[in-house]
Amino acid sequence: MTPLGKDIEVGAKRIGDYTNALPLSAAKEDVELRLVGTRCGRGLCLHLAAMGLRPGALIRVVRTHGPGPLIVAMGNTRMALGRGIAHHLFVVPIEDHRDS
Amino acid sequence: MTEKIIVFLAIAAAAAFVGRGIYRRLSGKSPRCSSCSKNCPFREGRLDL
Amino acid sequence: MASTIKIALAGNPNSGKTTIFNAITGARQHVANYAGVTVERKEGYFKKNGADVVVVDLPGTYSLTAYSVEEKVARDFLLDERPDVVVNVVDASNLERNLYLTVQLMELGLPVVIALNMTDVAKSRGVEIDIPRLSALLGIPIVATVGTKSQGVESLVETALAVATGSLVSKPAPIRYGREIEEEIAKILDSFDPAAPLLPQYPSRWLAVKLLEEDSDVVEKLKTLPGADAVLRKAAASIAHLRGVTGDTPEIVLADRRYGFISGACQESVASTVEMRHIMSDKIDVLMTHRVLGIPILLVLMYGVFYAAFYAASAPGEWIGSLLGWLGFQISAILGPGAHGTLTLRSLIVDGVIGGVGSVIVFLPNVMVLFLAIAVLEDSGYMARAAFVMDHLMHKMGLHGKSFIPMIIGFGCSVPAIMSTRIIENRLGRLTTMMVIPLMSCGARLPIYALLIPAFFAPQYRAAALWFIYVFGVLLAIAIARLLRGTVLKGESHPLVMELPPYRFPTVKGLLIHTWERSWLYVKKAGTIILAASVLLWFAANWPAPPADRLAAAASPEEAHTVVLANSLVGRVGRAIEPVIAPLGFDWRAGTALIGATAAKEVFVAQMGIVFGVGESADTLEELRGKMRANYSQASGIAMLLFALIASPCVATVAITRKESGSWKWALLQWGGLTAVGYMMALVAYQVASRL
Repeated sequence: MTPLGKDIEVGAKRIGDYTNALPLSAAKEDVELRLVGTRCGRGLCLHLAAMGLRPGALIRVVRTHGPGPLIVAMGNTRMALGRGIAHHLFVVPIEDHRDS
Repeated sequence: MTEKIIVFLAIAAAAAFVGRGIYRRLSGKSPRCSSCSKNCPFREGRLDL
Repeated sequence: MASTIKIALAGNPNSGKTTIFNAITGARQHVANYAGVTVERKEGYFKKNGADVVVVDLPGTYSLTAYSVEEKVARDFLLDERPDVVVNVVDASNLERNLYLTVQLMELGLPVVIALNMTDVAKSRGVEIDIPRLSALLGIPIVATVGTKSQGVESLVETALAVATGSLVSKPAPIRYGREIEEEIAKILDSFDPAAPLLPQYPSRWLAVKLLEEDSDVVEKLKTLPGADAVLRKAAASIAHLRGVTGDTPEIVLADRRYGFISGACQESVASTVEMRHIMSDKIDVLMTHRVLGIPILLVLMYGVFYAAFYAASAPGEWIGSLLGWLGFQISAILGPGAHGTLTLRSLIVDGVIGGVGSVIVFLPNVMVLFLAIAVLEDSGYMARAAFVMDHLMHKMGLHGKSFIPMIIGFGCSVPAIMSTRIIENRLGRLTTMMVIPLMSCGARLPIYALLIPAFFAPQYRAAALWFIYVFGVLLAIAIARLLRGTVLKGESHPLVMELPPYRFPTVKGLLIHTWERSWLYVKKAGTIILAASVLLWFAANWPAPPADRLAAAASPEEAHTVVLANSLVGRVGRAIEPVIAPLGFDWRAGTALIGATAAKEVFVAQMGIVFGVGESADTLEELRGKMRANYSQASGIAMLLFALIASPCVATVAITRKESGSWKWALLQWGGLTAVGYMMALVAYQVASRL
């Protein structure tokens, strides 16, 4: 069962596969995450994908600013994401995939 | 004269701040969630963590 | 042989594209705008082997969709102008993400050469790239470069020219999207009529792929063509089919397949991709983007920028001032004396041209230092952090972090600030930012504050009053931005999605080019719009001439000047609007000076000097303050401060707003709206303060 509402359309199949998906905005700092789905307008989704934020990408929250934006690491790239968009990116933590 | 203006501004600012608080309370806006509330997936039990 | 070879330079933001561009073309650059949009079009020229080469630096983009103006501009250029070769600058330390754009360039069917840039950074991070292998997989020549050290640039130019002239082949490998999608592409291709191609300038396979992606720009273009209905219907059917089969929209699947192609190529050619968890940049960011310290650090840096701009550069400004004074004196000596403030050639040149344009040019050293400091912050990578730190606050105004950068520049001068709103992708956000920028107290308003505040405030309150007027402008900007976003400029605000480039030392060459470009635009503005406005205002302040007997009765040249101004068009308008501005505590003299301030804000001080007959030199400033104290109450003074801050942005601001927003509507709304708000604020302030 997925805890997500009905209004998730784009990438719904992927998100639905995970029971422990949570919005990026709720993720803790310094935990390895896998992006499993995005819920946003088509233009924005494609733009995010072009920047590398696409389902399957491995990311990590470097810093969150309370109710403000957050910084995400993806490989060697650092990206600033507004809180609003972070609500719409869904991730699963990769607990057994931490490098030592 | 300048002192009077400073006192006036201080009172006006305090009144505006209190007024904003009352307005928020009355209009039912949560004091914590403000601008982003519309998109918040945590709202109305949409996402229970 | 006099053929011209056209090279297009494409690449991601922060890939070092600009550094490569500067290394290739040196100083022979030309900046213009793409027709109809305010995206900078940078061109550079050089000669090689008898051929003229023009290099066009396309805006930095992550892909070629129609998401932002930049992407659309880059794409339209590639499709419509068909460059002889595209040089794709790729950040080697960030290969997969950068190759996404490469794949899209390959799909356009243009000859591509990759400049594999920052190979030194990649090597230091343990990334080993087998260049011949990658080149073979992509079907594209690859040249390794280090832009910051100009390494490999020579060889890059040779390779690009070889491809452009056909002596070297660049045949991009075809991208295959898998059976299901290829079938649909084939179906759409079948529905094209080969005898009458719909958009002949576009490669047909590319067109088919864009139709599957529901690319808004392509669909809009097709809709206007007769006979496109069948094609669009076919595409809609294919999209529905693919949605059913894959459970995702085709554009996401296509993006996925492109990344699949890229990771396949990378797996075969990149030796090790160790992810470094704590690169140097992250360590700096621990401090710079600190939850608590981030904003104080930003404020300290900004203070440093303004300190440099206003104090370190004030001496050269004074030199320019004295030079202009000397020039005026010499011209007066050549053209003969003649009374001050009459319609003579001498007065036109000395009072109109030198007085008007000079008042802008005097600020040139300050503006140049400001631009240099901003270029340092930009090129080092700090500006993106500033936008990050400010995002939450700006979000409350209905804007996002990036709007903060133009607003900061606005403290220097509104003109470059409005130009720099180009970094904001969203049109609504950009317009809102433009509208409120004049509320940031620019450098030209400082002389007004410097005149009025000591005139009406006791010494112990002066610093606080200056601080208050700056802060009040910012608060008002926030309020007006929120108001605009809720009414005329309503709409979803763009979310902040911004790459934070690693910190790096700016190159001297890059800084100089940056500073020069922007300063030149500022000078150009002074030479055109401000020159015209100054001459017009000079005329209005001197015509019609007063009766000769009144002029003869004047005891001193200063008094004569006052008589001329009082009788002139400006003086008459000042008198005519007196009933309107009386509730603000202004008389016709203040009104006259405020009209003058429309040409350039600091003209207010000069005009005040003229109407009170004290001349305009620094020695007479205290005399002028005394006369103002005698004629106006403190309440009037406060109203004047507020009016100077808010109302009637200068001519240059209006002109640049019109240019950048693309219509007079926004420029006039800005002028009218701010003047109305300024009037209201001054009215309330005067009425309240005079009753306290």
